[in-house]
Amino acid sequence: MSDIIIETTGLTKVYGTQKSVVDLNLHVRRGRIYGLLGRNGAGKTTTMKMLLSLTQPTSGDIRIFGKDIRTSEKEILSQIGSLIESPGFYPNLTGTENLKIFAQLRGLNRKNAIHDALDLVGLPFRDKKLYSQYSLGMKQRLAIALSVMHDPALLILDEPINGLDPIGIAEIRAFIRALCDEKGKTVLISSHILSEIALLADDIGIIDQGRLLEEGSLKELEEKNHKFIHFSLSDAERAAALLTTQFKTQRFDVEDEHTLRLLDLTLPVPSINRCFVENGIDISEVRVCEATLEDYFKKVTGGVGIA
Amino acid sequence: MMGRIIKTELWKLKRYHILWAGILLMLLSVVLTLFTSTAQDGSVWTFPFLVEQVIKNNATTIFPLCIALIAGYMIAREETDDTLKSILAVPISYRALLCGKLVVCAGLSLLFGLSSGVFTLAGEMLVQFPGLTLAAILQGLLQIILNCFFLYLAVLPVIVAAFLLSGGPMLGAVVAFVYGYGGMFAAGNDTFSNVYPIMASLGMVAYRSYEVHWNLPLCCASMVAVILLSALLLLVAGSGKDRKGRTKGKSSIPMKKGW
Repeated sequence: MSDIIIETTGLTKVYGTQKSVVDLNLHVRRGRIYGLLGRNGAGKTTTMKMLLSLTQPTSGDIRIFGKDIRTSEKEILSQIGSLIESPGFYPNLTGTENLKIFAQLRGLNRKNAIHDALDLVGLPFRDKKLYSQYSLGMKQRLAIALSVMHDPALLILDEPINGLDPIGIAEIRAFIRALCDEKGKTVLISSHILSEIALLADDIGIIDQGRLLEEGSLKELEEKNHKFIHFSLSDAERAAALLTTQFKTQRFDVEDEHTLRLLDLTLPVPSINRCFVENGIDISEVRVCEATLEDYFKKVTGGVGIA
Repeated sequence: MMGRIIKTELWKLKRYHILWAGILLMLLSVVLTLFTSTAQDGSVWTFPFLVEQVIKNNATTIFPLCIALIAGYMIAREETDDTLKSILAVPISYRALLCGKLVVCAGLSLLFGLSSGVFTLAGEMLVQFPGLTLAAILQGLLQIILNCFFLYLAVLPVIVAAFLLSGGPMLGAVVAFVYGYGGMFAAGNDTFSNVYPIMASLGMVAYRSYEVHWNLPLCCASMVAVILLSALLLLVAGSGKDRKGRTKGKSSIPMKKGW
């Protein structure tokens, strides 16, 4: 069986004149947590809705479990658990009653399915509290319980930690990690919170203005931009020219007229220093820095940091 | 699958307050009828006459509005409660979901009919019109209950069409009220009364009419026509994908800021 669980090719969604998702080629691997990272309005939710057949793509293909969503929708969706946007349940029913409805619709016969799902997210079984009386965190937990109740092979979770307190966030993070590590589930999770993705995901896709700008494992992304050498000097442009001519490298960024960021760590820093000084460039600071994921996000999206 | 959908639709009605609005409207119909009985217009009020007047009020004033409103709320709640996405992801088709809801509404029409019958009987106990016999009670109850069911069938295309057009319950309720009230104007013409679905619902229960001669096959044809029209509308209902969300305002879950 293929290692790729979700594969999209040229996936595009246009609402009127607005392109929400453009030519998206996504690859989610089996048994891994894929973090779809992007600002609010970047196209994460629309992408997930298309994967769940909740919205029709304008063009492009979606293959899940190796099958085309258009021809095998029923077969595919029955193996997916999902949480899209905010939790949605019937306010006049209790949490257990709400889950009972979806268990019935799914034809779920496992006796303790509802009990186990509620137990997993730390909600009481057969509690008399109505959904309308739930706190935001409880609503979110119930939505996560719904997504795992039928023991799906794939989970698609859109911002699952919204509304949770810090302890709740840590619990859900550990819970998702365990689903992946212990039960072999594949998880596609979206977030606009960089630190969460960095803490949880194995693979990361960076989406901005509907386009997937970068895709790779967290390790690869970290390696790509983990460290750099920061130079504060009198003339960054001249220094850049020297790096190109004397050290034959283009792996640097000129941040402003006095700041240069050298990304190629294989070059000898003492020789570079000497070369700069000999060419009349004053150096006030040289230090090795570690770039954060946010720096990388800024670099890739060509803009400001994530909200 | 349809059995499962119907079962869950029944579960969703638990603690659903809108049903009480339906029961109250049924009570209102009987109260209005009793109120008109106080008018000195020369009518001789008996229990069978009371039943007839309740049926007439149900048909032309209260019931089409009542059932269209409640069915509209039941259908629209999947979007207002934001549960449609979870149902479609099961996957359950939008059309199957609508069908399940309409079947449950048919059951509700019988329930409202029963409540109308009980209120009529209670009203009779209160005002003590003559002619109260066991046979009259059974006939009256059966007529009221079945009339509500046939009225539901008559209003069915309005419920489906209004929801597809507006996505909410109010348009259907308003159109259903006008449609029901239109029955009064149809009463003057034999053929029109037999084919106008609201009036045909009276013919279906052998309502004693002083102006119209019922033609049962024509009344049945009228009922079949509204069912077919509703089925046609359901066929064009679409998949439910890309439906506009009608959630209760903005999501109440705050977005976490920063890292």
